[in-house]
Amino acid sequence: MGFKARVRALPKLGIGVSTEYGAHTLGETLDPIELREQHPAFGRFLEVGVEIAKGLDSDARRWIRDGHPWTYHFLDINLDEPEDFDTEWLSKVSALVDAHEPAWLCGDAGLWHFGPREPENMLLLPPILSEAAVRPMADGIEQLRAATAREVFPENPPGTIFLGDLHILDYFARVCESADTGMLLDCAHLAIYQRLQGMTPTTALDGFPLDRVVELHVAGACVKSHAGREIIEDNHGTEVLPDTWKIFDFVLERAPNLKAIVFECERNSLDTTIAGFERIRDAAQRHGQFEEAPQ
Amino acid sequence: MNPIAMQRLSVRMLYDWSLTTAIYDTGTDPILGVEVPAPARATLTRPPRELWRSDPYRQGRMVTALLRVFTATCAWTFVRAPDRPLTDFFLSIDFHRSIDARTSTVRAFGEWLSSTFCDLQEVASLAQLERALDDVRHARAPLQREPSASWSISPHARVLEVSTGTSDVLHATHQRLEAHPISATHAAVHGEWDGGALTIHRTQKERLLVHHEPNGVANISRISDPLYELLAALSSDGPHATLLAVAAEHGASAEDLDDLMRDLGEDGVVVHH
Repeated sequence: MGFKARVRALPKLGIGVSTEYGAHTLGETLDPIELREQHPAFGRFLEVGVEIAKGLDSDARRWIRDGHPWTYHFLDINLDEPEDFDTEWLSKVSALVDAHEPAWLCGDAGLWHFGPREPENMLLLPPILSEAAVRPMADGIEQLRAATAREVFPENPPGTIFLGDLHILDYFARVCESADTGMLLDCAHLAIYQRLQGMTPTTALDGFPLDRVVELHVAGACVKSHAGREIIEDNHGTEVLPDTWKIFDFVLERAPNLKAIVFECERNSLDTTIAGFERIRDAAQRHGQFEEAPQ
Repeated sequence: MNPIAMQRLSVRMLYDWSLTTAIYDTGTDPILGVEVPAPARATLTRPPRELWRSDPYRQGRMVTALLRVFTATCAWTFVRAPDRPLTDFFLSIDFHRSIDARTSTVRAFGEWLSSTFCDLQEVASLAQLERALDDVRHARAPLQREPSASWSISPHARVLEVSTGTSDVLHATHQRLEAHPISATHAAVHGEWDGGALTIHRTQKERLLVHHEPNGVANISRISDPLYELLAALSSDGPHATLLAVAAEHGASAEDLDDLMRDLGEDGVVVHH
């Protein structure tokens, strides 16, 4: 079955929030369960960042045990590196997916670690943006999709160094086509990329197959200076860059298969995140997204 | 250059700015001794050079992570050789080869510590032991190929020969570091611990078995010479004849050897194929 048929079967999750192992234990940070109780429209689902060596923390387990929808955001697989698909990792991921049934898997399609999977080697770099790098990435997506029997949506990663002759959107358009998959478009990451390249926020979006966009991420960022250059740090704060909103609004209006929007703000206190959630909700309503009641 | 190779070279450039400079200025990779093909060099040098250095904490984060694995070893380097920074690891062939060959960077750091600080007995010996501990924790296979004998050492076990006193010094160093009110890492980095009265013999050796048990605890035990020789032969994929010869040398028969292997198998130290 092709993507266009498969995507129709996916649940419409609505607006959700992200978390990763232990995030809620770090000071005055957002409790996803409290968000859902106090603002149900903003906590329809939880996107859980998972390193399989750590598993799920107690907050994520409680969320899932209560029967709320969630998505599995991987943090430990280099999709384009065949050696990274070792039997032990794959079997643990499959077991977790089977046991806890996320709506789908997604995550930055980049280099999460160099060398074998060891906690000391963690980083996140974008893939090489070239034609030769398309098929290896697509192979990894297909392999993980087959192993978990779940959709696997690649996400455009952040970075300060992007190598390769393709625009990042052109690269991911080819990956989605090659793997016949959907896409998690991170608006903040794209804003960082466009600014680094000296391009407008929506450059190349007109040529991107927006019917492939299943999920959107919005997050805050901060602008720093390094050696006289402007560097944008994807800090998941609550101050969302105007460029990010421009990308978000542009895509929201044109993405017929959009199922989910995550406000990545897990390291902030609940009250400081509400304005961002409201901005997302208002835009979604304005563009007719999520008009049906989320499941 | 294929994308994976370019990705690995870019990781090396992010951690080693002298390599980045060489690629920009000359197009050569002086560490691995290769010329970077012109199209790959053009791709790698397209971003403004200074962007490669935009994360000033990249090296420090990794050293901190490695320090948690080699806590005692690093604590001794700060005491014995405060003028030799651990970030020099990123200039070493050990680091660059590990990235290029996709092998363990943690292991490479252990090897770099042993060789770089070989003039410092405590550091070199402790690095060997902490590397073995990390190997068994991660169950890294000691051999890169399928073993040829019917028994092999378990990925959860290692034998090693180090200077006498190394295991005691490791234990005592950890105890003293962990007594620090902030953290063992803080104590190690700032030298806020007392390494006095801890000594390692320069000439005598102790033979150790490091074993990560199913309950998650890594044990270090001194073992006899015959057992060490047998397990060392298994670790280097010695054929069965070598095992029999080692056993015979110590007055044991083939049946004795089989019994011993079965016992070690039950303990999880060796694996039967």
